[in-house]
Amino acid sequence: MFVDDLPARHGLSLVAIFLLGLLAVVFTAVVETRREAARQADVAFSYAFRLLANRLAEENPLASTGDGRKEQRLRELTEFAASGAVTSLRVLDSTRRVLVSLKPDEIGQIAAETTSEDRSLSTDALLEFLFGPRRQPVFVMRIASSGGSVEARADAGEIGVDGAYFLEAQRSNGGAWNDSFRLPVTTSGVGLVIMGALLAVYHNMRRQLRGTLRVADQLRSRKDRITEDLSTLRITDALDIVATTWNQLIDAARGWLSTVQQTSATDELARALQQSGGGTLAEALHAIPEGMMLLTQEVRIEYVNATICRLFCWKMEEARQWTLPEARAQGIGEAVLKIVRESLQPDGTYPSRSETIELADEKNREKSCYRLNLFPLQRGHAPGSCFLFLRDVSQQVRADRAREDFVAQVTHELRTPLTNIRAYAETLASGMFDDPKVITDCYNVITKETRRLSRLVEDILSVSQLEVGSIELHMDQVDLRSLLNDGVRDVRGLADEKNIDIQLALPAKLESIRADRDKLAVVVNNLLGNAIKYTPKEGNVVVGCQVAAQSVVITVKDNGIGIDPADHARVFEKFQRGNDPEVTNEPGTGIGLYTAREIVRRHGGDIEVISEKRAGSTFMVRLPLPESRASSVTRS
Amino acid sequence: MARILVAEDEPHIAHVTSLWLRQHGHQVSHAENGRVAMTLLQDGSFEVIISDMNMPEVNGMQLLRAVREQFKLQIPFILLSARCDQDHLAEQIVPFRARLFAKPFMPSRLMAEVEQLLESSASMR
Repeated sequence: MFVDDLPARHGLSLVAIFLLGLLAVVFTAVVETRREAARQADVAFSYAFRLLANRLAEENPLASTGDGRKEQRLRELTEFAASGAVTSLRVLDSTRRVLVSLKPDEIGQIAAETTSEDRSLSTDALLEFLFGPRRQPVFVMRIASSGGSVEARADAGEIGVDGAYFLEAQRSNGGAWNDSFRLPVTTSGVGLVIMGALLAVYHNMRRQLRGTLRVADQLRSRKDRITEDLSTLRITDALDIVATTWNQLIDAARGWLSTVQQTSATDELARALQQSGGGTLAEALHAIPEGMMLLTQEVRIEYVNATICRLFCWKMEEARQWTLPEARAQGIGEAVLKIVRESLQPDGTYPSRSETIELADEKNREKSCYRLNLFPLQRGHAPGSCFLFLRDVSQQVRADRAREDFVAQVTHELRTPLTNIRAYAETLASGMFDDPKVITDCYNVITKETRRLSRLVEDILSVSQLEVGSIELHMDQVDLRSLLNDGVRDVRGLADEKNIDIQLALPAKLESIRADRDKLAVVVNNLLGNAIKYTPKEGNVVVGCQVAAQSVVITVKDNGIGIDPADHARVFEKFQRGNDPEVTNEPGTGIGLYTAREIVRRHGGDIEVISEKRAGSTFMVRLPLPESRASSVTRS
Repeated sequence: MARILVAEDEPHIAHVTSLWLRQHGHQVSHAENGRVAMTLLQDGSFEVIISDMNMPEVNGMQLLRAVREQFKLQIPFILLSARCDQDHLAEQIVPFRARLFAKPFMPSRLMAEVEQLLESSASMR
């Protein structure tokens, strides 16, 4: 044999090489196992920590409100922390030795440090606070899941240390709850030089961690954009992923729950309707603004309420004879029926479906929007049974769009004066222009644009105050002549730019009324500003005032572009502006007339407009006179 | 010196922009909206166009399109915009080879942009 021919020393070398190789294999395995253990520990820790965070969130000591309002959330957190409901938040080790103890104000501090918009407690902030560099951790851990204690051991660097940590939040109102999320990796590196033992520990650890990893995998699979291997991520990264996916799961679960509840409700409703046979329940459902249609076996129309009949131009008795393929309708009905037909699955069932349908409504020059919800019926109903709900959401959609337009418009309106201020300020500061006229112009523009900016901000603030109802009237005697004179003086410059003739036509005797002068000045300013804005060059604006029996009427009349009578009501709505290019080409936010009307109404008066397209506009502000004054005016 | 067309309906912005351009030795023509700008383009030639986005009658985007497609001009075009959807607008103007300048802007930076564009177009010639 070839080996037999080798000298003895060669045989010894071969044995040495073999032993060295074996040692290398063992060493590599040890290192790999330790690395793997560290990675698994990270993942497990992340997940366990998140569970705790969510538990805290559910208990609401440190939870967000979930609606993204950070300030509100932080205030709640701080108030809660200061309320005494939470006495401490502590981190204990396995011997119940306190490692970290947070006082209520420190919990508040964590809350204040929270920057994440995540709906749950900011785990980053908490993690950083508990285990950040200042508090030099620990770290090797052991998980004990709620299902049982995990005793797997693996080395993650701190050989010989046996520390099991968990977090405990203690509340004063009902004793302590101490969910122990003990992470399953503790140290046991010492003496693990035998391959078998090492592998046994490794397998044991993997087995123990399998449950956690499976959950992590499930979470990860719900988050499309995650491509990295979760186990290779750092704790903070993993936290983010787990947090996001966890929240997605919660959202999905809520959605499912809602669907299930809705399905149960519609099942019950359908059954009740069928049993009532056109009785009181059916009569009641005719009165609701939502359209309802029940399809049962063979997609037959079992029930339609009055709203559907009105929208689809159906006669109720006829409709209830039809099957879905036979049904015909116009407009929204046609679109709805198309969706319902398309939704029918080959196996004769319906899936849950929810969507918004938009239809051009020529009569109202606006699009009509309807929300369609389709719910399959399940318990005890024939396959293919479903309930359809149809709701007119045009107002809601219109309001959302108006708000979006408002934001865009306000952005533009804010940026224009800012552009002027910035550009003219740089012109002054540059030292490149020494012409005194240029310098005077710069100062004038900056002053004028600052005033414009200030007015805009005040308008926006007024709307905010009106919205929350916090606007207060400071009533005093207001000299109407002085009020209107000042109003005209304030806009004289704007009128002069367009050569608009602005006149005051006031009676010789004009008494004072009781009102909030500053607020009324806003009304006058808004009406005059609009009159000048929507009146072409060389036009006329006349401001008048009459005292009637019970009220005083201020009028602002122009010979401008006018307002289509169909838009009269809408111009006083918040954020609404006319669709005419003559209007949209002018700067504006759609809050001036709304603010004016609300202020006048808070004075007990009202505002109206008389106008025709291309025939100018007259805005009339009617303010009530005090009863004593009114009676004296009547007598005289 | 270059002939520059400024299309801007906001008189103060038009004034300060023209002031700086003239200070830098350029000849400026002002149009108060896109339609007037198109009339001026028919009558004269310009080396740079600075236009506001939101203008009555013909807006900045329509003017840009007309400059490239109707007038077949490849001169530098700077679009000034105070809109909040700047990213969307920036995407829209890509095919028309224009520069977007967000309001509020510093006139000195606008001047630097104009000089750079003039240098680039001179070197291309």
